Amino acid sequence: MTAVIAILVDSYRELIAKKLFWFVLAISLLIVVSFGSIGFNDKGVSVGYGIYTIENEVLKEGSPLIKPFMDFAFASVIVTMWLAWGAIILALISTAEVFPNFLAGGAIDLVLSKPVRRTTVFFSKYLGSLLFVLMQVGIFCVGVLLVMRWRVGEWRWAILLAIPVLVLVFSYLYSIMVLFNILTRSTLPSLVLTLFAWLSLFTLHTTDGILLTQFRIRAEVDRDAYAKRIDWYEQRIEQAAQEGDNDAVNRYRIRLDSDEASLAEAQRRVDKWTPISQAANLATLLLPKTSSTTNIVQRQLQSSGGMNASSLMDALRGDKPEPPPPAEIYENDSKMEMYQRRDREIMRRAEEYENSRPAWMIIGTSLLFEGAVLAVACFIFVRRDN
Amino acid sequence: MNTTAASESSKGWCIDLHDVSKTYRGKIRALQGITMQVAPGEVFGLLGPNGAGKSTLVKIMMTVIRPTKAEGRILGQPVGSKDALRRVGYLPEHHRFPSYLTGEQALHFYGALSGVGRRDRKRRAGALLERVGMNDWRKTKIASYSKGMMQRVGLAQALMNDPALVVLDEPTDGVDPVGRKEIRDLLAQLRAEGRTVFLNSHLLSEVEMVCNRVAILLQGRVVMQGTIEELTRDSRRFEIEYAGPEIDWLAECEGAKSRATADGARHVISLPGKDAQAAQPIIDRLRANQAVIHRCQMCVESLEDLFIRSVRDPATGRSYLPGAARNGGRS
Repeated sequence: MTAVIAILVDSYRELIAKKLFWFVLAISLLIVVSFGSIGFNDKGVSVGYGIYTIENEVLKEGSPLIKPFMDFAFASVIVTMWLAWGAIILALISTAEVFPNFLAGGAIDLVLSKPVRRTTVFFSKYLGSLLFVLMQVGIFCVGVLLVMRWRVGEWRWAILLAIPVLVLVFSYLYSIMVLFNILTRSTLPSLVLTLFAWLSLFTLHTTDGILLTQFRIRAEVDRDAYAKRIDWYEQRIEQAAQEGDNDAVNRYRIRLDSDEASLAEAQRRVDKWTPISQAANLATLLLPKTSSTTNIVQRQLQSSGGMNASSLMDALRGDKPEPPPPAEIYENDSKMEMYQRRDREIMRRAEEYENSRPAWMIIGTSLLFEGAVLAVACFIFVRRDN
Repeated sequence: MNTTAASESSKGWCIDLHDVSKTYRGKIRALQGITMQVAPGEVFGLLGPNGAGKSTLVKIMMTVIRPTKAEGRILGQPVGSKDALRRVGYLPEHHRFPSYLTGEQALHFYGALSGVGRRDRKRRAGALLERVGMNDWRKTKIASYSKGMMQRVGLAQALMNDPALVVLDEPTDGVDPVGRKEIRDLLAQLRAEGRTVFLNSHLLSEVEMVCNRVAILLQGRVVMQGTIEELTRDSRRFEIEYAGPEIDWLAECEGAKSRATADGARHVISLPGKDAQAAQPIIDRLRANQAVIHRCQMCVESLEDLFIRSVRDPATGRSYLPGAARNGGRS
């Protein structure tokens, strides 16, 4: 245990000795200060600590939307844009040379000649490197927590969930970098290969997402919409027939025939894209899920009194969250409104699908990947002559 | 420490290696069945030309490199055992301390890795930095240390766990003459404390000054092993240098050889052994022949002579090529 603590303390000293550590921390604190500058008065949203006010009827002092808005700003903008991308890229750059320096001749000899198992050395050093993100995100989230208490008037403890979540996201990528570090013993090639691997993962997950939303869910939404319209037309035909309105019967019949053909076409698309989407989903099942893991913070904030993105946008626009009655849809809709409604429905179902995946499965499958990569890296480290 | 050394001694060798072999990538035979013993409390010198396998052997002992085959024990534990390392201090050649640490922090770090408790680390770090003359630099980052200062801190690091065995790989590398003298004195102190020192060095004069026993490695094999006295015993001779022509009766004297000096004006007669009595009849006959005797001297091979002799092919008289053996024997 003394050795593990020594390696962790050494890692801490190594990280704080890097200028990049302080640079990233400075950016983080700047973002916290900027986030804290967003306030609410009786006219709308104030920015720059009251220097400028953006007038808004919905979002102003006392509005129930303040909390979901601030949650959204934190989870969807700050976490997604800064912590999950910017800060992690800088963390990867900062930690890229940790293992190559550690493995350098003359340095590793000193460590391996001590009465410590190589696996202990490897995993202690690995965990020590995660301290970079742990400290950065920890300080950042505590800052945001204080800002939220000040602006929202409530302790949003769910924000602190971002600390382990972001450390997890970083650890998925760092495990890949450690494997490249062990294989190449070089900083730059490892960093480039890791960023390439991250880009590849992002591409694969994006492809999976596009197949799901733009092909499978879109086809399902179309199919369900046509099925609903067919039901509606059948009711109208029956009603018109009872009233003896043959013109209406013929008019609805033409539309019904057209929609039945469209329903068959939509069903064909569903049948085509569902197995493809499922296969893509299966292919990415055991890969690390950086975006989905990051989304867990947003999900947690939503479940603790927040709103999802589409509901918040509707609320901020002043839209009614309830859909209009069917008669208005099918009789008087413009094509534009119909497409907008379809896109919203796709977004809603995509969010629903994402939220239906349990957090343990997202994290568990990603950790399985990370564990496998680390096992390979550790095996090479333990077996190799230094 | 004397108690520890005594207990090791009662069990036998401090280092007892048998048939240690290392083959890299199936063809470079760095070590070919090394057998070597080091007694407790002695300073043992490991010598050999570049690529002889000295560092490989040291790294195998320190578990940095995995042997292809190794039998034997270090401090009573099998070779490769991590438990034995608790009582071993090691200074690698070209060691690199983390530049972000101070000298004191480095000692704490490596001491902790050796399992030394916090209180002991604090006490020993101060004492050892004082001992190697680095106390004034204890709070300074290693990045600003000179090579010699790094070696001093390295030595202190090797002693942090109060080791019974200290393995030093080129400890005087990069150290100035004054520093070298101090390191030699330190080695003498370690021996006086009853610690065993295993020294790998290119500096033959230093090894000769401090080591009780030496081993010479050549292309992964031990070609000589023993005390310097044992190894140079056969080279001891009595030399008589005189002015005059070569004598024709030398064949009557058993083992005697004659050679001319570089300018050809004198001759030198060599008699094997250290018995001066055996030289007296030759001196008498030379004086009877009116030869002028310039020098009578007992000569013994220096460690450098011994080393050069051991790395030379007796058939060709040329040194063996440096480096490890490839697919077998010497080249």
